[in-house]
Amino acid sequence: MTDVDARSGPFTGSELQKWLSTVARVALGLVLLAASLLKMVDPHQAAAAVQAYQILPVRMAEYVGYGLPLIEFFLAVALIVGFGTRLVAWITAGLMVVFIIGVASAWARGLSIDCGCFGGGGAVAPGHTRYVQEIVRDLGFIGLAVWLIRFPMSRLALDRSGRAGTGDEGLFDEFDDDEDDDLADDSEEPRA
Amino acid sequence: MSSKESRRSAREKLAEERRRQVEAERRRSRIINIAIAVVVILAVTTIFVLVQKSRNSGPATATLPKTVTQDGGGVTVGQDSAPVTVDMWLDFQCPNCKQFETVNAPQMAAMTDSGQIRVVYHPLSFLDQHWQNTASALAANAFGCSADYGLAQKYQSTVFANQPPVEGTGYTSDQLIQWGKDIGITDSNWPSCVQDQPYANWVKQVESSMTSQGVTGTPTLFINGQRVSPKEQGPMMTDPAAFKQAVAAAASGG
Repeated sequence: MTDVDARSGPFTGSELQKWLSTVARVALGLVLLAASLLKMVDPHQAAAAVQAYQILPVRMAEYVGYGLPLIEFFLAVALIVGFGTRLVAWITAGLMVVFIIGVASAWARGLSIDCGCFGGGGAVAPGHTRYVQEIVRDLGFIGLAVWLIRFPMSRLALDRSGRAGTGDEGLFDEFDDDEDDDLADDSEEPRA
Repeated sequence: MSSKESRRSAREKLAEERRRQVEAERRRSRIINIAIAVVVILAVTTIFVLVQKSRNSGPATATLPKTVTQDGGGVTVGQDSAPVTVDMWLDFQCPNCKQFETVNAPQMAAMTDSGQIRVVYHPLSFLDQHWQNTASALAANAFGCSADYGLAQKYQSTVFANQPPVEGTGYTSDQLIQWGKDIGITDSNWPSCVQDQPYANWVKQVESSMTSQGVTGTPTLFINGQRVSPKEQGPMMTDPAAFKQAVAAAASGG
């Protein structure tokens, strides 16, 4: 592969792009952290919020309500410290797609519920739903995740690809593009 | 092939072999790392879920109103011999519950008295969070107090009849005390039972119990343990015959 290809790959980029990725990473991480902690404090509410979608069987929805905030917490921490950014961004984007499907499905079935995205949740009075805002908000988060999938390299990150010249093995390198192994060093210190 | 060339190719082979070994070793340690991470995450998640579940079981101990037979259980009205049991999940601040009550409370009282049905009332308090007040819990506790005087059914329909027209207005202790007096509770302990909320823990337990039943809104009805679907419940909100029919079907169905 040539240097030209290398510079256009996902593990290369300008200083500006890397700092933008840092901003996207930390912003998305803080959003997930808030969503996670607000749900953790009230497991009853969290379980009821998932049940309110009436998609999963009652018992399963209950346990998803308990467990989901922890998964959001793991993703949040990984994003904030910049660990396995690309994989985590993929998972986050996938999670957001699931959330949008859930909200859209509740909307389509005429349910009147709050998404429970940041705590709360459950039934609301008809006419008090905010499905459009909820979906647009999640699309915004998908935008951040997609940016990170395209430009996973960022400053102030644990990822090898985000640190200059250490050559450490990332736990999730396995999941990164093949280009990573070949090009990460090049991108940090372009050879003459 | 010269011996020089064959030596070089042997060296290359050896180097190639070593590279492969190093590569395999790296791959193996990655897989082990990932496996460890997955196991740790699964274990932590399991423990976390169990902790959250126990946090959602409500207070461990509670003083229970009369006719409540277990922690977090509902107030039971009617005879044990009644062939049909109706579980009703309600929130005293819920306007749809008032609507249901307006249509069905009179016949439900009559069917209870005649031994056709027994009703288990589960007073929820989730709307308190929605309206940022404590009126549902206050009313649920007062409802528990009314059960001690054997007037639960009458009391709950009285509270619903007096539900403020603007949702979220809530109830005051004085109102809840007065409505008890209106239906004939003359005991001098009645006002303090409403004010001091001796059944507060029970109210929290009832609220927690909705999760295990999958109750997500109010009113929610179960007839002989069968959940009444939204489609079945729709007509009941306006037509008393719909509820009557459902009870008759349950009675004949066993």
